Amino acid sequence: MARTRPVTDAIGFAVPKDVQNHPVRELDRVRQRELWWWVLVVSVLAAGLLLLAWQQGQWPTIGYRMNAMRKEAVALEAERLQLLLEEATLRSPQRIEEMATTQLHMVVPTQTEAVVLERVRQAAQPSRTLVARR
Amino acid sequence: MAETKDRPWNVTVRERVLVAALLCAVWGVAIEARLAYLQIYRHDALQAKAQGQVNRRSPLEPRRGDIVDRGGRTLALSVEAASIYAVPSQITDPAAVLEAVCWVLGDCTAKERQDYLERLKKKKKGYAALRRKVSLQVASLLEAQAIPAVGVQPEPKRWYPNRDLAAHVLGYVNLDNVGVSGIEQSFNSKISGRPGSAFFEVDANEKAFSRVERSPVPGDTLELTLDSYLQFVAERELQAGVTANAAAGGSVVVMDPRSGEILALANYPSFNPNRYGDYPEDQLRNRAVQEIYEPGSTFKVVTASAAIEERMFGPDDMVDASAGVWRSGSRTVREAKDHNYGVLSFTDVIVKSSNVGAIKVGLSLGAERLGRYVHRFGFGTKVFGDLPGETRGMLADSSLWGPGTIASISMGYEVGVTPVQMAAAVSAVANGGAYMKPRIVKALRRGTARAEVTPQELRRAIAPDTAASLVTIMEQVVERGTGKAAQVPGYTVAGKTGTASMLVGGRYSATDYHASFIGFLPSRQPAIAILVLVDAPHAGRHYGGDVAAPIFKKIAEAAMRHLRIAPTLNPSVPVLVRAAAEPVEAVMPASNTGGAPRVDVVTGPPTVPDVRGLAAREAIRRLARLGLVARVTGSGTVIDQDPAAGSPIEPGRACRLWLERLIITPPPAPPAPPQ
Repeated sequence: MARTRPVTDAIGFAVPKDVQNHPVRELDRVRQRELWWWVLVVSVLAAGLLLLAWQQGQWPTIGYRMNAMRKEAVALEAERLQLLLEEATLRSPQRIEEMATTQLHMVVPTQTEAVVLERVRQAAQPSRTLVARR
Repeated sequence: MAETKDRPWNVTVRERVLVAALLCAVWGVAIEARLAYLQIYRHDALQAKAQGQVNRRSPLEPRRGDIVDRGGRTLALSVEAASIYAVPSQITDPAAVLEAVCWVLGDCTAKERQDYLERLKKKKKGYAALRRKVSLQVASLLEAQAIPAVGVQPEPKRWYPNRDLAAHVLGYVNLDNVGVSGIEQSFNSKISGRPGSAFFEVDANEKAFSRVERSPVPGDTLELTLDSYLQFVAERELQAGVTANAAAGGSVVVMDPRSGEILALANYPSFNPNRYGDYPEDQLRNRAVQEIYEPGSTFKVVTASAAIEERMFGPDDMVDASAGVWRSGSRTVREAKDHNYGVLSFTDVIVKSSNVGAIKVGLSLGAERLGRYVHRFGFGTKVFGDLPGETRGMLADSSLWGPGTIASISMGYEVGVTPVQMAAAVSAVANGGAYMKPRIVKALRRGTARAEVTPQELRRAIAPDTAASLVTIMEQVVERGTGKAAQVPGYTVAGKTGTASMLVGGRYSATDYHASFIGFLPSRQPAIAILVLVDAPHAGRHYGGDVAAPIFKKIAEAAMRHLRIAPTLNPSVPVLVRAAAEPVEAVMPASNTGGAPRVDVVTGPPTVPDVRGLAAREAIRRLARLGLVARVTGSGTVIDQDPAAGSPIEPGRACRLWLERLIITPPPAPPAPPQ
């Protein structure tokens, strides 16, 4: 217990002011409920702000990924064009004839060796057939 | 201290709190003031600085459109390449950088080394291009070396994968991808596309994390009328013919006379557009369009057309070409090889290519009439339009023609024509008299949309019966006249030979000639017209019938095979092949002119029959005979089946049939007759 100086007041009590008197406050339920309600509100707001901040932080990450994907798409397109070029080069008539004559020892057919077949195609079947009603 | 002992503690505390509060307030105001200064007063300047650090803008080059032939084969396309650049302001040792770059490239010439070193030494420059349009492999190797202050940037490069095939038609582009020759030039605005731009934000490591772009619009794809195979054959045979005849060069034009489409346009010598800088300029010129020649006797087709159309001569009318020479003043014109044909028929004037006969016909027509037909056949005007640098040819105004000029023009002198003009003129005879505009562009494609260029008949040159008479005459040129070397076994060919002295130093040469042949086949239903021109043959022969006609024959034979045109002379009996299980009516092919078809029966695995149109019961019965199980949906008549008719029968597979009941509405009753 702390030492206290006796204080004389206007009335002149000799009783020390610091009496062994520890009042216990009664719990204010209403105020406590209000307090917890505000804690909830602030928590929600804080969470919202954190979420917003996190989202903002994600934009650059997503942007990097999108940029990487775009570069990949550009690289694939470049590869596609290279393959087209390669295909066109391989299909070159000069190359085909050179391979046919030098490697496969083929020759251009004479007029009597090559026979032109005319293709006879049947007319297409109609999509519907009409029938008479009895 | 006695004063502080008397001072109440709360006052002291209050004072100290006030001082602290004042300091906090001052600090707070200072912070706010700084905030206001930065956010309000310096706002614009700081924002601009931030944007400058973060924002980047770059143009996006559009992809140049492809050029394809009529079958969709690629003739020209753009692929990604890379260009090497350096930042001289960041280079401390230019010689070392040069060595590193040249080691990667592997083929730096001494001149290039000197150039590069000069550029690398310019310390004030922030950018120096070293070599443009290297392959991606070289670019990757360079990046792997991580040479300081040297980088690569993407750049498109135009490639012609078939090298010199159709080089004069395609043309080429310069380093900036702008067409400067051929189709690349004349359709540059269509196939170059529209550039876009990209706006992006980068971080401190120059990595982009945000991007907004206006995409570039790729160029249109150009679909040509050329047939790659016919183009190859034309170039091959032209080169072989020019070489065999020790000639200076030549041209071939292959046209579809019905539509004006050019199937092949070849010049020799040619060039590789991937390395156009390695060739002399005259080799890059498209002689078929840009150079003129005097056609000689092939022009007699025009003279004959005019004479028949004007009803001045018929095929059997006689023309006096006796003496074998024509004189007018100091001018003397003799027959080739000093022949003397005497009096011969109009037909034989053309078949034997009589100069005197042609002059007599031309003089009978007169300047005005002959000139009118010369213009009707497209001479003296630009007829093409698809390729740049086209010349209109050379033709004096008919009002200035004297007898000497009429005589010359009648036999193909004093008139300068291009090979394309000559091919277009004879195509008019081949198709019955309609002068079709020659064209080399078939369609333009943008995405999935395709805009086709329609054939255009510019005018009627001659009447159909005149054309028919000329075809008969030209057939005889090939059959018994000067064009026998152009005969193609199995096909009727119509044509005309031409041999014209070349103008050398302002005088007609006695040793240099233009040897040409123009013809079409099959003559009664022509599929192609071919012009062959060989300049200055020096292998002992110089006549069109000896030099150009054999080249025509080789190209025509290959073309008939490639276009699958059956022989028109003595066609073989058609062969029909049918499966054993199916009865079939003999269907006669359109080209069969007689003789029953030969039917070959092929036994093979049975196939699913066609039961569409049958009632359900009959359809199921037919399928059951072949061991097939039918699954039926609907009622009525079979309208569809799966698998389709003709498919091989797969064991265990059921055949699904869809049935529908159809009702016929009786036609409305006819209106009652008026009372």
